[in-house]
Amino acid sequence: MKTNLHPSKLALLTASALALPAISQHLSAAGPSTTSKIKMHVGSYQEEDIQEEKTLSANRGRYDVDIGQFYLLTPMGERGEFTLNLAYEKMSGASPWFTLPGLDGEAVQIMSGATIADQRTDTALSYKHFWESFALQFNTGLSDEDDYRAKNLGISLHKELNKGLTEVALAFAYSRDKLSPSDSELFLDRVPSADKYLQEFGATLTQVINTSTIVQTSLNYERQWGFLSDPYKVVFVENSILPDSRPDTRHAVSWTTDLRHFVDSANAAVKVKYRWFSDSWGVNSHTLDLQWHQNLPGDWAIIPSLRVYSQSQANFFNNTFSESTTNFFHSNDYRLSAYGARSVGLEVRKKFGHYALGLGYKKYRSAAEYSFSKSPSEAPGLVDFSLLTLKLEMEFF
Amino acid sequence: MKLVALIVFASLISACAEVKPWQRDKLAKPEMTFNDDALGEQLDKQVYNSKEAAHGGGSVSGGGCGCN
Amino acid sequence: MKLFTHSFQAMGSPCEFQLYCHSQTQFNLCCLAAENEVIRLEKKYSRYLNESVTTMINSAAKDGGSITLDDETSGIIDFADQCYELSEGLFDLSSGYFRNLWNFKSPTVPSSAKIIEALGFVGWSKITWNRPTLTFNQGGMELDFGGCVKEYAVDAAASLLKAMDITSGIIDLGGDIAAIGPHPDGAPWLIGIRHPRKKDDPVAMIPLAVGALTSSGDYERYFIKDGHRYCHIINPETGMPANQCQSVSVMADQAVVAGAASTIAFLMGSKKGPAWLKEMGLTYLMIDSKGKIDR
Repeated sequence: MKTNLHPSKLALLTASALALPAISQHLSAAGPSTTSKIKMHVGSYQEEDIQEEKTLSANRGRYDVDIGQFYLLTPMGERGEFTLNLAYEKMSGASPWFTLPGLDGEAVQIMSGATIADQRTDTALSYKHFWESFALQFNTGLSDEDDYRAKNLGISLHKELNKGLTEVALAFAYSRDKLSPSDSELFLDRVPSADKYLQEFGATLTQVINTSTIVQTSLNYERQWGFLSDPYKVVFVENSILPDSRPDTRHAVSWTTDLRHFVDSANAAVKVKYRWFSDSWGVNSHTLDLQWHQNLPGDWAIIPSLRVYSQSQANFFNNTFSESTTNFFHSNDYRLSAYGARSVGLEVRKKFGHYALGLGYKKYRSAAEYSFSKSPSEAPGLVDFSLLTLKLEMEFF
Repeated sequence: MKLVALIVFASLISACAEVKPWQRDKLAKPEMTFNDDALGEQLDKQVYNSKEAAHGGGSVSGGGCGCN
Repeated sequence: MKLFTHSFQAMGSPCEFQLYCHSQTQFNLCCLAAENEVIRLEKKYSRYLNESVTTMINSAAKDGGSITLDDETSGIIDFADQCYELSEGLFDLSSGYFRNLWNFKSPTVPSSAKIIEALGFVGWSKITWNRPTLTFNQGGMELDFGGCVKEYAVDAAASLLKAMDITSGIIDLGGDIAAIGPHPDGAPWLIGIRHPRKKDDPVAMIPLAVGALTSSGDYERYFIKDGHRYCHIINPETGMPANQCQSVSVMADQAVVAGAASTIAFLMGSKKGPAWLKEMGLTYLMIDSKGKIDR
């Protein structure tokens, strides 16, 4: 019969035959990527200065971050896929330190005096192996900055059903963070080092609804324990200073649904994503993400987006504390207050053969009045920011 | 809000059509896949998690930062 | 499971699907989908339609320009490029130019001068392929996908029918054949290899359970002048039709591979052809100009 004397020559020809779209697209729906991808993004994140009436600090500047991201995706062997993610951030600026009752009764935010300059590097690796109808993925990562080191491990199992129209996945992640707050020798109550742990479980269902619509829904449960307070924040209570104090456990549940629909008549894709979140600190939140991906002739695309966010306040949060309102746990961190945020974004993309370029801009505004929960007063530390990103992406065969 | 989302979701699932493998071309478009802008979403996650109490949802991948 | 047959005309040839299905309805649906796919490819690469990719490529080729190709066409060019290398230049899409030289409707043998002039417009090396951009480094050239689109359509239809859960069936597009699976009892399909000179008298019956079988022959399009047969398979290096073989049939997993191999072996001739096919590890049947059979 067939004797393969030069298997490499026939294999070469067969491989190029199998790469023909009409032949390969009907082979198993899920499999490792057949192309390699490299993506490089640079971004500039800038927070708006805190408004004069909200602070007593002379320096009203907030955080600026310069961001660089690198991503590599490559097939490994016939069934594997390897991903490398690198991120580098250079941060500088001031952040909220504590609040005080202001002259007119409204709380004011005091900012950290010195300009904090810090760098963060984040490395993440993942490997996914595919079989006939299921796949297994392993992730590991390390995030490193001067005063914080986080390590994480994750595993997920994916199973295809219903001829590839349905996919179910189960995931588990574990994270261990070590805080070593800087200048702890200068501040009495600043803890010199502490650990924080996280375990997360998730179940995801992805379902093809019709030829133009696909939906993904996930249920996640997370448990955090260890030192969960903010070592850089304090609470000013009448005449004494207390460190920011939060419970040493936190449980949270979230449910997210993401829908994509292709609008043939417009040659555009619409994305609607909703997340509901609730935790044991009393915070409930809703997030709605909308995006319209409009394809244009000449391989251009324009992508406007809108995000609406709302959260309720944590049980132990208050803008200012008096002797009578101070409990065992207390924090004036605006991030635990009742507020909402709205952001609008726009991205423009162009594809040139193997390459694609993108430029995106996003503007985020937060305010207590945007929240669905009633809030007695707005946390003075709420922040607005803008983010500008430049993207370069390449695909190789 | 949650109830509305649940109803919408349930009606979508029950309306599933039988999609043949060769009809999946639209679903394979990059803008229709769930991790097309993985890097962008990663940055967004970092940015939002550092100022909002809610976090996670979607893919479980761990990863921390000093954004207490 | 019953055997259903559907015949139709496409790509200028008689075509047939023989499939085992549970019902007439399933069969009709399968034929509809597969036939549509064949016609889609026929239209996409037709030399005669203004909107076809072939016409667009040849417009760019006429003026020596560049054209950016879609994924599917890029895949075909990648495949053809691979064939060009493995065949030492004999499989060449730019042979399309020869239709200006050899016209099988009027039996005229072009002069040596005309042949030499034509060779100036043929040659894959005169084209730069940098996926997805195809650049013609000189004007006046012409590409012809006839040597691979019919076979690609066979593979595309087979792949589609497999995805539609067909496990036993055979596809025949003008003599380019793919078996999706043997008869339900395991018996292979018996393919008759056409005798090059006697149309209805097969020279051999080849069993095919799964895979593809294609043939290249001098009996498809030809003319005879002064006792010589001039067929449609032109050697891109000499400008003359290959005349050492009467037919070559090759078996491979994909029809595009079998089709390219049968064309290449036909061009290589009765000595180099079999050696090349053996080196590739492909099963074949070759009938040389004298009628001698080699397999």
